[in-house]
Amino acid sequence: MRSTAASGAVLMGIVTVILAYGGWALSFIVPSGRDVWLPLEYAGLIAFSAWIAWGALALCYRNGNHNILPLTMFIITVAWLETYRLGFSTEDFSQGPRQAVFIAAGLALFLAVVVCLRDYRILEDYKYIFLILALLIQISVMLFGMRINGATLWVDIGGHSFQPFEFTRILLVFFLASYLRQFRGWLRMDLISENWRLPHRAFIMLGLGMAAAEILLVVQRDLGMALLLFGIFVSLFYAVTNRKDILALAFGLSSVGAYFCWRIYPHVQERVSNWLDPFVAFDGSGYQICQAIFSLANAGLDGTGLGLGGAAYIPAVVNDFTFVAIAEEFGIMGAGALLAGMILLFAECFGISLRVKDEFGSILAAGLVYMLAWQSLINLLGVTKVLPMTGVALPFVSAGGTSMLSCFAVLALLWRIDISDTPLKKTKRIRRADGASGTERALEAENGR
Amino acid sequence: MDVKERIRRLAYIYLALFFVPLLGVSRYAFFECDEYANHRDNHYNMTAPALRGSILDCHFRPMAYMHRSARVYPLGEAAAPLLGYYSRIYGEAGLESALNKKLLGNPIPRDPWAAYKIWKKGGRKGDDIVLTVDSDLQKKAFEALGGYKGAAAVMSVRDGSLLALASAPSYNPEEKLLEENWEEISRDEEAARLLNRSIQGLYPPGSTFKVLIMSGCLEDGFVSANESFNCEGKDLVVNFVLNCSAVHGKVSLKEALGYSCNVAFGRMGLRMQMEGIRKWMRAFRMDDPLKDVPGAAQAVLPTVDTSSAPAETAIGQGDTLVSPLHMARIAAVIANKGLDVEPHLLREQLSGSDAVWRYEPEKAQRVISKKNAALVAEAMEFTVREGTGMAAYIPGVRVAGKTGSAENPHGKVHAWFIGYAPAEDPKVAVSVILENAGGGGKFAAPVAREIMKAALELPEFKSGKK
Ligand SMILES: [Zn+2]
Repeated sequence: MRSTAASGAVLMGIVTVILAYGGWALSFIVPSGRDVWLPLEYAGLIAFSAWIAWGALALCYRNGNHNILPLTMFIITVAWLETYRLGFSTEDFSQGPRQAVFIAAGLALFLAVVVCLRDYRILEDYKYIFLILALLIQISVMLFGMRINGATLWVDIGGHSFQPFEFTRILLVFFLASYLRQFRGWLRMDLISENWRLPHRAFIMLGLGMAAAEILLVVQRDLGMALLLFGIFVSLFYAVTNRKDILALAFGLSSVGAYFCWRIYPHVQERVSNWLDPFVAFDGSGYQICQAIFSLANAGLDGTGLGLGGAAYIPAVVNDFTFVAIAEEFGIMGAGALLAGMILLFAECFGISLRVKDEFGSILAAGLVYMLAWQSLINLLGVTKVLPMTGVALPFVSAGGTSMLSCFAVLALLWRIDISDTPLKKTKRIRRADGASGTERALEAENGR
Repeated sequence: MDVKERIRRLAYIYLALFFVPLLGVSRYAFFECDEYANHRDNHYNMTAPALRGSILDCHFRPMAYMHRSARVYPLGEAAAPLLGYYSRIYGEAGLESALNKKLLGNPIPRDPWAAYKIWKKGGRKGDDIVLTVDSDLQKKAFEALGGYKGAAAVMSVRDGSLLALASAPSYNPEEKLLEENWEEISRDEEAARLLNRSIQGLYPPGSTFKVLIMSGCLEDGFVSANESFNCEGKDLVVNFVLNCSAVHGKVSLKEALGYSCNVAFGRMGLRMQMEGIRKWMRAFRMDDPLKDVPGAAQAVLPTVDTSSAPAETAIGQGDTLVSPLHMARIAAVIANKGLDVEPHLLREQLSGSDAVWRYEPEKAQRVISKKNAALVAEAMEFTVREGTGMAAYIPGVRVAGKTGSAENPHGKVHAWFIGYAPAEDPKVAVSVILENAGGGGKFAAPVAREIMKAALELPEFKSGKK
């Protein structure tokens, strides 16, 4: 189903109404002595920048997918209202405004990437650079990062802390997509054959790269990101090569690895026991998930209402547990609406991967959507205690600039892949140049190897 | 192309997985809601503003309510042992604890239709509970105890509703003060501030028990209305010495009650035997679990069966233990001309403005005949007019009553008074105990007088009189 500017405009209208209504509703629960109209002003900022970004794309790239941005804005809006309101309870009154600025900046970045990144195919040429860059970033985090909650995940730059993995995960998807596409023929071969040297080399390179990244993440105690990377790798590897034996090997090895992690690291054992029964450690490490369970129990069908829940009792609620706070205050119905928004958004994004004719574009798009979707699932399943909690941010929902900007960058890339592939008058000039280079590359790939 | 086919398949798996978090939410918001929504550590129950229901008095005046996420108790100390407290650290006590589930409101039931109805009604707001207690009277009853350790139970004769249940010593139930003074409030076992003595305190009934003995003896024919007893000040029953406060000489049955003659009642007890006494305690429903008075203690029926035990039990000593509420109920039976109405404390449960539960009065049970009740009533009126209970006399009102001075191992006797007023058209029955204060006539009767006076000033009784 092809989206049109009209369907996108309707969705944008809905988002605008939610923003206006939500900003107005927030004005009722602003603590006394604070500016009552501030939430509405920032809601206006978000609506304004969203319309600018969406309008610019709708005018310049008529054949693009105009549902993606409004669906994203729907998720962002619900999360932003909740984040703003949680700031009242934690007395972090700049939290909402700050997040609104991040959203506006994210939209600007989205527009900039779509306009400036004319040919995403150049990414394919730098795969090893991306891999080395990713490993270097993670190593430097280990050396210079700040330790928070026993995990070294944050880097402080000019007083602003940010999580570099938000960017390294994208670099690793670039690497994986390029590498898998380039060596897919060899990777599909049997390990033991007369021509064994070549597949061997491809596997060793891929295995070493992924193992190095995984080990770095485990050493840094970033279990969530290790799980995320593993999921992306498995998904992409299966999609491109259909090698079930290698997947079984990967699962086997990582199970052994996970078992040893559990044996060696007390913090892993703690996570597992808090998953099995958080109430044992109610006054300690289980407190966060216990409070989250209470919040969910209070949700009911339609929630407690904005500002009336107690999700602020969950430590670090706006980093990891915003979904729980949304569920508590908007109920099962609100949580369902948010999840429906995510399903629709990721369905549109998967649609890009399936539609694109260029193979690299298709694999790269798939990799990026697997990344966003799997990261969302790790968070959502963790906070609802289906899986152990691993502390991964929820894309577009968790508070924080790094996450917001990197997710918008990914979204822009997807959008760019989509429009680069559809020959229409508006983009013809660009298309011709791109198309030529794309064909060249394809020929080169066919002949040269 | 098969790569795309696999991408598509994985996409379906990914999208389907997004339904799992919704199941996770539903698990806690729906299926296991009961367990976690009412969990004592659940922040929502402690902080959600205006969501815990209020406790209201019989005129819908709040006795406990949420204000800016704090629990407010307008009566303060005067009702603390009755209402209990509500603390983030120490949980709940008293009615706050007994009614906790109702005050919290309904967790979302598993039945979708029931869940939908709750949602339509406005979600999980707690229900309000209307008590039969009158705030003003509760306050006055508490003040009337005048610093003594003790309790007072005030009951409406007509319908059994409890108008006041005062207990002292008390404490300030406001959360902040409670937490500051927690050690003092909870640890002092001597003061037992958390105990609602009016329904949970168990004491030997002393001479107030003679009302029950007289009723039972008359009913069973062990004594006749015109029988008289000869009191020489003391009497020896096997190895137990019955002591009288004075040498009463020849006393009629009425005078025996009025002067609280131990010799006369000791003999009556011997005629009834322990089985008879226990039978009449059960007849006066002292073993009733009192389901509409949350937390009420059951009386301890005497178990010793020595040959002197009936005499000892008949004058309210021995191993019988009763609460002030039990004794108020006995007074109410006499006031009701032999009919027992069930005492109750809860009137209705309001969900929003709809009553979801309302107290259904049970049919009054006849305990003793109208004729015998009139005889006991006359003797009780005589007690206040000329006997030991003269301190309970209210000018212009005919008061009936019975004093008691219960010996106990803790020191001075407990001062007891039970009674009702006005005698010609009884409206309110009362029972007062002051621990280790001294004689009932001197200490408890004036307290009961103040309480009855205040009760008869209540609008419902005043207008009824006119
Ligand atoms: Zn005597």
